[in-house]
Amino acid sequence: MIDLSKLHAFVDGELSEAEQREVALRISECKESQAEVASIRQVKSVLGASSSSQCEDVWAKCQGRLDAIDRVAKSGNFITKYSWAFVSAVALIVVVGGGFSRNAQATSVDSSALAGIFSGSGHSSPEKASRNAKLDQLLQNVDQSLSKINLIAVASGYINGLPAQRYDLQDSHGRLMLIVLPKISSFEGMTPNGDGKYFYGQIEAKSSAVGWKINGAALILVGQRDYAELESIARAKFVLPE
Amino acid sequence: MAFVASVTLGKSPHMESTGRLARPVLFGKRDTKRDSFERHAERAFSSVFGTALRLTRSREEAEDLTQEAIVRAYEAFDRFDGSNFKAWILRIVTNLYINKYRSRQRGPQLTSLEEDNVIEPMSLESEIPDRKLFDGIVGTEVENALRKLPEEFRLAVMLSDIEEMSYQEIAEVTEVPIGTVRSRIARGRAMLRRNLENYALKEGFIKEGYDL
Repeated sequence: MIDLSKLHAFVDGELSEAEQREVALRISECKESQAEVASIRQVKSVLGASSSSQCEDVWAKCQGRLDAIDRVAKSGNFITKYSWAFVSAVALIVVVGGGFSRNAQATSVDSSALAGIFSGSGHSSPEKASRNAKLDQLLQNVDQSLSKINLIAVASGYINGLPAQRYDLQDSHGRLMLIVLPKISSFEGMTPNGDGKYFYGQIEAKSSAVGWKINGAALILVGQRDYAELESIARAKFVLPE
Repeated sequence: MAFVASVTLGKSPHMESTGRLARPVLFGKRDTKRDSFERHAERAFSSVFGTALRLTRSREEAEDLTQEAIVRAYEAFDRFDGSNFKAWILRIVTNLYINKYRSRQRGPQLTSLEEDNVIEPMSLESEIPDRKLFDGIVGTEVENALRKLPEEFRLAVMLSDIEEMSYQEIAEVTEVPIGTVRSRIARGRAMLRRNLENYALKEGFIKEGYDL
């Protein structure tokens, strides 16, 4: 009988043209080889007829995993790419009045003054002890809330003499940024939601912001999510508005 | 003195005149990488899942393995050379299986079979002729017989006869020389036929001393 592995390769069409012809000729002269070839073909045939398992649901799950990867990548890109641009592009203006200890000209802060805060390179708060009790309580609450979300980085500093804190966060859907600004009493350019406790604003094309107030401070949650999702995170993870 | 303070964020391009906010379009535009990957992956998906299922012999583990392989492939898609996606992703499946899932497996494993390089004939020493055997065999019995093969042989046979891959492609997926692929396929098929024959005799739908 012909070499068995050669017979299998013959049936699989894996021999060269010349070998195929030669083996075919030899098979025609050998009954044992003919029987073997028939058996090989039968096995191939029953295996080839094996039904494939239902896997549409598995494909849908895989697509979900890919969505999650895309979201994380895009959020990461956003944070990296727009951390500075965010500040300059959205024209975040803080106007303060009243008796806050501030520099006399500081009624507004332009983007360049904010950049240090948002890039994390701003001067860090030199006198944490000087924060007022309300702010300390607020930040403590925020810190506690953050235990439920991955905290990537914290940057603190001043915006026009006002202490402010930025938290870079990550949950299972990607990156988020929480900005805490004390002594802010209202949002402008943001639209209140139904009960007026949360405020929605758009940052560039893809990123949204939801703001709310606690103890006279403003918290703004920013991310590549829709408003409802950001508000839901705000409600679930952070101190509720007054 | 009361504080007069405000935070102004840029006006939303999605704000409607009613003041109601339109839902922002998030991630509405897919990138080329995702589209291209999905086109390839969807075509190869039944092979990916089928291979995972036949390797792990467990639907639950096959789902995990499949998802992990798809994620790995997506992350590495920039390194795909564009030639043969099915072979490329099945190599990811088999490598993942070997590195992560195989240790959990029960059942036949390859021992010294590789060294014992004798290929049995399928028909010559058979107690049952093909027409008797294969007439009585159904798909689930074939799958069960396949499951009992040591995994190297199982993988070579199923890539050849179910996934219809060439020896060269199988060699790429399994990362062994073509000669080894050829040997594994021949020996795997012979083992498979023997398993089917034993099953048929054990279950009694073909009796020894059958009437030809």
